[in-house]
Amino acid sequence: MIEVDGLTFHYDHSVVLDRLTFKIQSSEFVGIIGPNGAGKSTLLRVLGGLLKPQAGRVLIDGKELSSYPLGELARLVSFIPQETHFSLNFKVWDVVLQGRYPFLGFFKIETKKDIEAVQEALGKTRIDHLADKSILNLSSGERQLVVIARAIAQTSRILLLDEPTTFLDIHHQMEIMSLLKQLNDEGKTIVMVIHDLNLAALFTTRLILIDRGRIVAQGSPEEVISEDQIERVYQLKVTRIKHPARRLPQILLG
Amino acid sequence: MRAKVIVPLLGILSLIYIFLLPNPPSPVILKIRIFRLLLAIYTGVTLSVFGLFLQGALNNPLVEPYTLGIASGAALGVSIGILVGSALSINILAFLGAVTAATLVFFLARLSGRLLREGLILAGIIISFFASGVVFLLLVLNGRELHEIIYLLMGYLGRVPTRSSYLHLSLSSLIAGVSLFYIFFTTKALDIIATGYESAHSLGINVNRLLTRGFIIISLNVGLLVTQVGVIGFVGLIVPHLARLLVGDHHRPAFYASMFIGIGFILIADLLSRSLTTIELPVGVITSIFGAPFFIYLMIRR
Amino acid sequence: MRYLVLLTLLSCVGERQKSEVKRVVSLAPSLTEMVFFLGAQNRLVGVTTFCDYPPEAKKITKIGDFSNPNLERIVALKPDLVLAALPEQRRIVAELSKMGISVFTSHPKTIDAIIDEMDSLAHLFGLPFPEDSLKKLIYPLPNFDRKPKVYIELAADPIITVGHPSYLNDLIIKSGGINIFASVEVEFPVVSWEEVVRADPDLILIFHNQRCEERLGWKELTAVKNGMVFSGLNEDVFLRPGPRIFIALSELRRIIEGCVPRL
Repeated sequence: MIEVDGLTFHYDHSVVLDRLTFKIQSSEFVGIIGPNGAGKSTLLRVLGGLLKPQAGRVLIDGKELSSYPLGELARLVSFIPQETHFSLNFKVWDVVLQGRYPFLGFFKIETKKDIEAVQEALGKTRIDHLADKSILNLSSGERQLVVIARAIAQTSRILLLDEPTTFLDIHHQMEIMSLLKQLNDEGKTIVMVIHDLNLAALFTTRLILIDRGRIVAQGSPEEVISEDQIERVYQLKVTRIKHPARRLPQILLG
Repeated sequence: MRAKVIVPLLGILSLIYIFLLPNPPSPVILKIRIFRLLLAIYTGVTLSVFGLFLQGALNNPLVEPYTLGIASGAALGVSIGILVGSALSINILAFLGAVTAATLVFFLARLSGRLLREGLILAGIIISFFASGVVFLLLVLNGRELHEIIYLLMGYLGRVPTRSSYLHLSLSSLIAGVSLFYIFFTTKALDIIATGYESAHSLGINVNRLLTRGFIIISLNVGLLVTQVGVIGFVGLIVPHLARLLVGDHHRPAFYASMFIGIGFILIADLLSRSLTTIELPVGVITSIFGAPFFIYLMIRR
Repeated sequence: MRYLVLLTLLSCVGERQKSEVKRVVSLAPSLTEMVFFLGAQNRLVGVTTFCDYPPEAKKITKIGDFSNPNLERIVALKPDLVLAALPEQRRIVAELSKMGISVFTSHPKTIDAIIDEMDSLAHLFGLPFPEDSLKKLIYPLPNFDRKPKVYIELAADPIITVGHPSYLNDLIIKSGGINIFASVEVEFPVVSWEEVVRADPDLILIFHNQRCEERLGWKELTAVKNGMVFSGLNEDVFLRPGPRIFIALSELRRIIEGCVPRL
C-alpha cells in the first residue's frame, strides 16, 4: 500500500535519506528504528507529505504522493508529531473534533457524522471523561492520547507516528502501544518511528532498521533485533534475551 | 448572548459620536460626521480582523499589520504615489508597498535564523522604521510640511471628506467585505494551526497557501486603508487579545468579537484624539500610547 | 528663554553698540525684508535661500534655508548680530547664544509687534524709523457693525488654520473681520473640516494649492455662495511677518470692504 522507490532526501549538502526502497502492506504495524540522526523522522515526514524528496517516488495505493490533493491525502494519512504544544485554551472535545476538518464542506460546519466520529474516537482512546477538560490542563500522556484520538477521528487508514511514546511514563507508553495495536487489528496501517527497541519488538509486526539514511535490515522483530546488528548500528554492547511471557526478543544493555 | 450587550453598546457609542459632539448638526454636518463614523468602522473592523488572522496563521500573539511593517510599507507606497501624482497610482503603490514590506519582513526573519516568532517582530520593527524614515525623507525633500507627514504616519480619521471620498470608501469597504468573508472561512483552519504547522498539514491545511493568500489580501486592504487614514498602529494587536479574553480562544467567535470590539476601540480612540487637546491629535497617537505598554506587557508575559 | 530676552534687551538698550553692528546675518525672509526696509542692507552679509525680496537679497551669501540654517556658515561670516525667528529656530538661537553671538529674535503676535520689532532693529542699527507713519497705516481701525467671519486655511491635509497667538489673527481683526478660530490658543492649530463648516465663514483665504471644491459641504458655505473665496493671494506678502504686511493689510481691508455689503 505504501511503496517507496529510490527515495533520496538531503538538507543542503548532507544526505539524510539515501535511495531508500521498501514496501509497506496494508494493516502492517511497522516500526522504524535506528540511531539518532539516521533519518527516521525525515522519512516519516516524507511519507506524510510534509517534506518533498529530491529524488525517488512515494506511492500510496498506487498513486504518487505528490499528486494527491492535500485534502484527499488528509483523509488517507494522519501524521502525529512527537509532541504537540497547545497554546490556546481548547477543550479536549474541540481538539478531537479538529480531526474532522478534512471532511468539512465549504462552510466548514460539523454534521452529526462528525460528532459521532469524535465520540467513537474518545471511546477508543478511553478519554471520554476528559472531553470537557481544557487541553492545557492535561498531562503529556493524556495530551498524546488526545492527539491520537484526533487522528482516529480523522478515520484515516494510515497512521504515521513520530516517537509517540518518548516523553511518556511506562504506563502511558503501554497504553498507547496497546491502543495502536488495537487500531492495527481493526485494519489501520501503522508506521511508527520508535526509540525503544523493546517496545517495538513487543508490538510491531515488522521493523525497518535505518542507519545513516540507508536501510540496514528489515523484517520481523526476531530477524532484525539481533545482537550483531544492534551492536553494529548502535555501537554498543548488548545482550538479547527472549521475553519470558511473550517469547519476543528483548534487548538488555551491556 | 454577549452580542446582546455589545451591539446596543456600539449603537449608543455611534450615536454619541454623531450627535453628542457640540451643537445639533445640520444635514451637511451630519454627512461629514457619518462619513467619519463609517471610516472609523471600516478601519476598526479591518485592522482587528487582520490582526486576528495574522496572530492565528503565524502562531504568534504579537503580530498585526503594523508590527509586521505592512502598514509602514503601504505608507511608503502612498508617499511615492503622492509624488507621482495620480489618485489611482497612490492606491496601487500603497498595495505594492505593503506587499513588498511583508515579503521583506519574512525574508529578513528567515535570514536572521532566530525563532520565527521573535524574528518576525524584529524584522517588522526594522522595516517599519526604515519605511517611515524613507517616507519622511521623500516628503520633506519634496517640500511637504512635517505635519502632513506626521498625520500620514500616525493615522488620521479626520481628513476632509470629498465627494470622491465616499466612493473610495465604498469600494474599499466592498473589497474589505469580500476579504473578511474569506478570512471568516479560514477560522477553523486557524484553530488547527494553533496546534502546530505539522498537525495542520496533516489535517489537509496548506499553511503556505493560506499564508500567501492571507498576506496578499491583507496587503491589498491595508494599502487601501493607509491611503485613506494613514498608519494606525496597535489596533490589530490589542483587539484580538481583548476579543479572546471575552469569548475564548476559538477563532470563529473571536472573529465576531474582534469586529465589534475593533469598532468600539477605534471610536473611543478617535473621540479621545479630538477631545484631549484643543487641536486634533492623530488617532495613531492615542492607539500608540495605549498600545505600546500593552505590547510590552504581552512580550514580557511570554 | 530669559537669556534671549536679556540679550535682546541688552542689544536694544546698548546704544553704544549701534555703530558696532556692521555684519548682520538674517535667518528668515521676513527679517531680511525688514533690514532692507530700514536701509541697512549693506550690513547684511548672510541670508537664507528663501530670502528673495527685494531681488537684491538673492545676491547675498546663503547660509542655508529657513528650517536648517547652517551654523558653520553663519559663524564663518563673523556676524555682529544674527536675526532669527522663533519658535522654529529655537535651537540655533541657543547654539549661537552659547557661542556668545548676539541674536535678535522675532516672534510677532500682532501687527503692532511687527512694527515694534522693526523699531528695535532700527535702534540696533542706529537708524531712524518712521513709527508714526506706519502706525497711521493701521489706525484708525475699520469698524463694521457686522464683522465678516474670516477663515484662513494654510494647509489642507490635515487642515491647518490660524489661532489667537498668530499675527494673522491680528491681521484679520485690524482689517475689520473676525477669525472663526480666534478662541483657539494655538498659533497654527489643526482643526476638523466639520468645525469650519459649522462656523460657516463669510470669507475664506486659501494659502495652499489643493483643490477644495470637492469637499462635502463646500458648496453650502456662505463664502462660497457669495464668491468670497480667495486663493490667489501673494503668500510672501501675507505669510511673512515683515514690512510688506501693510500691503497685506490694505489688500485684506479692500477684500473685506467688498465682503461687508453681502452680509
